[in-house]
Amino acid sequence: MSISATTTVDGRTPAADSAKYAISAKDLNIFYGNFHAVRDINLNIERNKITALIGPSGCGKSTVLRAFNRMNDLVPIARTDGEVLFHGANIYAPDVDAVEVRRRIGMVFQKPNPFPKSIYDNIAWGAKINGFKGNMNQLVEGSLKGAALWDEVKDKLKQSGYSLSGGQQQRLCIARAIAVQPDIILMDEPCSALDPIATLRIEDLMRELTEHYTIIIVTHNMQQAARVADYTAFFMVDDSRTGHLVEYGPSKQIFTQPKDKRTEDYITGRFG
Amino acid sequence: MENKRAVAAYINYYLNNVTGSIEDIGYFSASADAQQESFTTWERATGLTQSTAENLYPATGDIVVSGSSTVAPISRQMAENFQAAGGYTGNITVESIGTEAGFKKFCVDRSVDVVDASIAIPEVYSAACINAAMSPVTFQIGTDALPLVVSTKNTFVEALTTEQVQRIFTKATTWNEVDQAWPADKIFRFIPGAESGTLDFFIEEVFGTNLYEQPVEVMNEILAANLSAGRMRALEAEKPMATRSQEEIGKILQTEVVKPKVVQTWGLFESIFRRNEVLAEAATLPAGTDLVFKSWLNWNFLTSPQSSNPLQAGINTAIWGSLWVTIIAFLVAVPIGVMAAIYLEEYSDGKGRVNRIIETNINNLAGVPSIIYGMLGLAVFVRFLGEITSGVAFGVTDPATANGRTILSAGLTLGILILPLIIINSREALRAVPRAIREGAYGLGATRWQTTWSHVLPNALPGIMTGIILSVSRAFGETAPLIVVGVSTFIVVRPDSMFSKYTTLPAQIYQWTSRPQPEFQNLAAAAILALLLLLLALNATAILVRNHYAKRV
Ligand SMILES: Nc1ncnc2c1ncn2[C@@H]1O[C@H](COP(=O)(O)OP(=O)(O)OP(=O)(O)O)[C@@H](O)[C@H]1O
Ligand SMILES: [Mg+2]
Repeated sequence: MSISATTTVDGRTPAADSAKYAISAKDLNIFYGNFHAVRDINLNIERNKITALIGPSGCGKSTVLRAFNRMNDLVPIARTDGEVLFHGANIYAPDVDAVEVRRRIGMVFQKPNPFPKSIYDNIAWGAKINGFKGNMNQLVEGSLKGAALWDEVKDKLKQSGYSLSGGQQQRLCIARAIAVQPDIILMDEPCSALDPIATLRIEDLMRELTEHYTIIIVTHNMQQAARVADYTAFFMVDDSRTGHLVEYGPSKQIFTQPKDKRTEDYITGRFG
Repeated sequence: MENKRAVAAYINYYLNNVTGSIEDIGYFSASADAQQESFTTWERATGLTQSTAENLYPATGDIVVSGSSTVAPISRQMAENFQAAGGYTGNITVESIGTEAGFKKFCVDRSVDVVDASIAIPEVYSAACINAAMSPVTFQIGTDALPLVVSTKNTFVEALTTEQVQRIFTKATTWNEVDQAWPADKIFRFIPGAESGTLDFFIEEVFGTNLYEQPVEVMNEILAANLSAGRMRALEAEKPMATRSQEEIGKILQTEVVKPKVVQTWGLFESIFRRNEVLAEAATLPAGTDLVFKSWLNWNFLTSPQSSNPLQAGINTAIWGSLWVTIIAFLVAVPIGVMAAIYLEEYSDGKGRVNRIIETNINNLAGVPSIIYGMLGLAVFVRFLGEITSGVAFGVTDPATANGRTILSAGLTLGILILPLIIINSREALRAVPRAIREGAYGLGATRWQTTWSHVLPNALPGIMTGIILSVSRAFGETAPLIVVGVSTFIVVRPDSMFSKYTTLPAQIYQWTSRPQPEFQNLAAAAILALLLLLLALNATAILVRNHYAKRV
């Protein structure tokens, strides 16, 4: 149906795509036990851009997002069919190490989840386990600056990450993610627990981060997607509650001239 | 009733005339104050004065005087004079049976009229008297003294401290050992015979009343005087007397010479709230019995080994056995249990058949009665692995323990017993670690082990440690399985390796409670308190350690 019309991958070979795109999903189907959560997702994510995944609750946004760094592997009943191509290789191929995938594709979660450790250790730990050999102080400082948190915490790096405010904690989590120097950062509703000011700070930060990173963000906030995302993908559920991709394109087009009626209904608030 | 007047008359005569005779017999008169007090006491007790004392005469009725052999000579003299003085017709008997026996006859048997005493009335007898509605009055008739004499040829000793006297009569052989300034001449001591009460008095004054606090030399002398030469040789062969400490010799003295025996006991409640009745009852016991208000839970109890004499029995060997067994159970169960919990929670997907069987079994095992573990331990560790658990396989050859009933078997059995508890508690603690923490770590490219080690385990540690504390306390207090795997109940040597025979505190308590004598019941009660205190101390320490860790996370 309309998917093929709105996706931009039609007719291209995966090898050719992978050179151009940061990451691509190809015929992705995900199951939780017998429940078919999402079906037939084909999605190419542009490099150094922000891509937003939007859609009504339960349509599988998080499921798709987590499929990009094999986070669903941690859910025992989850099963993934299809391919996710990253640098031309399927990250679900049997010889691929999920740990390596997650190192290259970092994740920031809905609820800020700093480790119960010092601010410094929160950032240093990820680098340490990834065999970072350079100057740790520099890396911590650089990551905190990258996450626009340095000025606020530079005098209390030894304090617990829990001592920060919610917005600061979320930026700490972003700093933690970029300290591992991934290619892509996945963010699952990173601002849903934050107030508008903190939200705007994170959004600014995301814009800055696109200089070095590709960002995929799940959001419920239409304005946020319109404000911050270069591309937007709209998901829906069908009658059997299976999620699928309805429309994908530049945010400007999705929010001003949606091709699909359902997209229009959703962004104008008529349902969802 | 006639006899009462006679007694009053006799005492009045005694008080009035004793000063004249007492020095002839060899004692000193009481001080003027004491004499005055005696008269006042007499007047108050009889309601008469010296001038109306004449009203007591003529007096009749027999008088029985009994008690101290020290006082008897003067009492006899006084009785004789009293009878000769006229005004009294009757018979006065003066028995010399010892002060305490005299008091007993007076307060308990109520068969004598006057007690000759060389000490103040002991509490036991004053209580017995009060119980019998008697209020004895005391008259001091004189004092005696014990001189310490130095030869006239000795020119340097002028004054001695108690400490110097102690040295002269114990360690010192020459005078300069007592005081550097004195010559190195040999000390010649002349002391009364060992049977003499004078010596007792001297020792008591100089060295204190407690037999076991006496210098080693004194105790050695007492031992030599009371034990056969053969027994002394045997003790010497065990460990030379010269190398034994004061405490050790005191113990020997107690077990070999004093041999205290419990004839009757009263409980805590009676000892505190009905003390007078206890004292009265104690007074009716045969002479030579001491009433001791004793806390069964004392330092000696904690440091002495098991003994068949309840007065010497302690729980030292049991404490050591319990600690050994518990530590082995801990070393076996904690690493395996925690690792198993980590595997089941963090690694196993819970889907495989084997995993499911393991999980079901662990949950079931936690509910199996402990005696069943005893059977398992008996079959596996004691019998099947007997070679290993008795240490034969490692070259330990102690025929007494070679049958596998060792600390190791017990520790392994209890280890298996608490293993499911530790696994279940640890899994609970691991499960309580928020998902977000795991996902945060995985999202950074951490492996399972890195995530588990750096984040899950530290977060679960307080919970895991709580589980361990509970489980280890359980092992510490477990009795039934140990009885099956062969805990000994009578162990007098402290276990020194995991291949030793052993007893544990609960087993010891069990054994004592099954004895009919009340002393053992008291011992059991004390041991239960000790067990509780020990558990409390262990748990408190563990909780402090746990909180320390919880704060660091
Ligand atoms: N671990 C899981 N086990 C079983 N079903 C799951 C699991 N996670 C998600 N699902 C189901 O998969 C579907 C998609 O869930 P998902 O979390 O991806 O939705 P979402 O679009 O992110 O929703 P929201 O906007 O509420 O976060 C839902 O029906 C959900 O119930
Ligand atoms: Mg979601």
